[in-house]
Amino acid sequence: MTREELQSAVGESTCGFYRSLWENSISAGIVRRADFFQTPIQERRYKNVSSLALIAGSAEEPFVIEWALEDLREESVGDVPFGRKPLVCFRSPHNAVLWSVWCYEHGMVPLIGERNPAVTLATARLLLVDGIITDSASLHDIVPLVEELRLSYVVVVDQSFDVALLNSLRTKVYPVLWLPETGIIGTGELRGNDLTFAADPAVLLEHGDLVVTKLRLLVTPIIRFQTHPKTQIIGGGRFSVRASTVRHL
Amino acid sequence: MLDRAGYGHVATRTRELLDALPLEEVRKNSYRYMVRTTSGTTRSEPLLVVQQFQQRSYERANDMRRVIVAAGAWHARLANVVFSVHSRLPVQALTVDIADLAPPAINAINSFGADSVMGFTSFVARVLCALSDEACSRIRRMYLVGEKVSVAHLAVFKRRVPRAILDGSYMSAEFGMIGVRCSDLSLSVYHPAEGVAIECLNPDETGRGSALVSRMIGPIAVKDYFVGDEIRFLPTTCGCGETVTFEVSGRLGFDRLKVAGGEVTLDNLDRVAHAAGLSLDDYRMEVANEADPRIGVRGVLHLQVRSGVSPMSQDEIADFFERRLMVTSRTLRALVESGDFKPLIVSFAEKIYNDERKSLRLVQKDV
Repeated sequence: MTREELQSAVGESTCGFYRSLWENSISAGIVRRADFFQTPIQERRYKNVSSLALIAGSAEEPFVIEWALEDLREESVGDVPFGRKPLVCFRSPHNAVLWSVWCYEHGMVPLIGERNPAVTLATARLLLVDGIITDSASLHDIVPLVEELRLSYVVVVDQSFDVALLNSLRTKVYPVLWLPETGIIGTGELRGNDLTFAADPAVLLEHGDLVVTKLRLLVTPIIRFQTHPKTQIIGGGRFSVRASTVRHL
Repeated sequence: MLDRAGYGHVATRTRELLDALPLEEVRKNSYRYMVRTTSGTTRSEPLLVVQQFQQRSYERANDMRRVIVAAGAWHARLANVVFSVHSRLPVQALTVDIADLAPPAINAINSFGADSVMGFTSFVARVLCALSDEACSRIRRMYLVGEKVSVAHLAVFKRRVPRAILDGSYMSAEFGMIGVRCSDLSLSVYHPAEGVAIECLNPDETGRGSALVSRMIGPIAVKDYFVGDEIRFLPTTCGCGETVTFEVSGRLGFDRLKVAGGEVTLDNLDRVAHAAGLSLDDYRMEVANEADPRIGVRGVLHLQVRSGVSPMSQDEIADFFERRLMVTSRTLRALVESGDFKPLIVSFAEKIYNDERKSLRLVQKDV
């Protein structure tokens, strides 16, 4: 889908969220989290399919987002040697459920980590998980597991990355730049202390502040969505993330 | 007979079940399988089992379009989401966390416009108390699992969602689906789930006894699993034609009781009592759910101690137990501070056991 096709589909939809934003825009068509916060989810749905809804946004301005199963199926983290039983371990229960459903859609049976890291570690050992999908904060909790089990991969899904920790792991690490609203923005490659991302094929990027357009008709489409990770566009769809500055949105 | 202590063996075998599946089967039918865990207690390791689901599990959300999934354990949330989104018609399944039940997140949940709530009974009650009156007025259906619906729960449901249809199934995280309801059955009365054989062990004069269940999990036979619940068979053929119908009486007299979404175990109670210098005959604890207009259902624990056996005062005993007694994975003190439980009630009594329940140190009061 091209950007023009996406904008056309959105413009012709009975849902008026983007039309209203574009008509009243004071920010050159840029969509922000505040726009999602101010608009109930039922007023920004562009398709009616089975979906997982979750709370996203900041503590001050939370909002509901939705991921259709069919869209999760299209979200790719790249060429990762997935097995059948990954551990999905996130600090946020919403993200943990979302990525577990992502695993199902990609033909795996996940073990979802619980709030208590001790329970997560114990059950992961019982199941003998074959890989881990996690965020940067949780990765610190489960380093012993990475060292102990024979894992095929560690996928780290986040907006910031502890490069030193990633380098210290003996299992191959796959960094993925991701936001709950936008989905996968890019997949990373770690070379020494340099972490460089390749933009997802369905993502258009603008500016150093990473304005994202997702070239798919999501339940709430992502068109010129303002994200906050501080990045440097390298060219050819590649960009780097300044790790220390992108923790909090 | 398998009890929870012996379940680790089954868990190991069921892990092997997942390992033995052809990768092609996992890739094609991943949703048929689910890894479930329980947090365990202070004395036992967490348990793990791989469940294989039947189609019936996926039919619980057929009448729901916008469902709030309210469960404490994350694997339970995931299971309810998976069950929801595979309904015949499109379903929006919104998972909520306890942390979301206060402003401003609750406003986002209110605006979701849910027509139904699915999940753990006490958590559902808590969600209903947090939702606005307008949001509650849209709730038409509830699907309850994991905990017997008590009088306190019913009081909350009647007050917040008087027109909602209550439905549910009987299952355990370890075993999976045990009982299902048809439209002719009242709450807590079920038919055996597909493929499940259920027995009532050592029934008393009222017909109530321990539930033993058996089924195949993939190629593995789980036989005579001791659920820890008390059941009785009802002697009539149901209007739907099903000949086997049973009522779940609760967990009277067993080693673990669910209350207000948490679990109190006899092991834990005994451990703390031992540390307090009490002998097994010196104490008894009653647990109960109490309706609370703010959070739905609050847990109430009442510890009776034989007069003269402890040098501590009632307040000192309460403090001692609150700091050490675990309710699921949190101390009672933490749950008191969060408002989920009332402060522990301690009383001294000359006689703490009546004749019928002489050996019971942990008793559900409001079943």
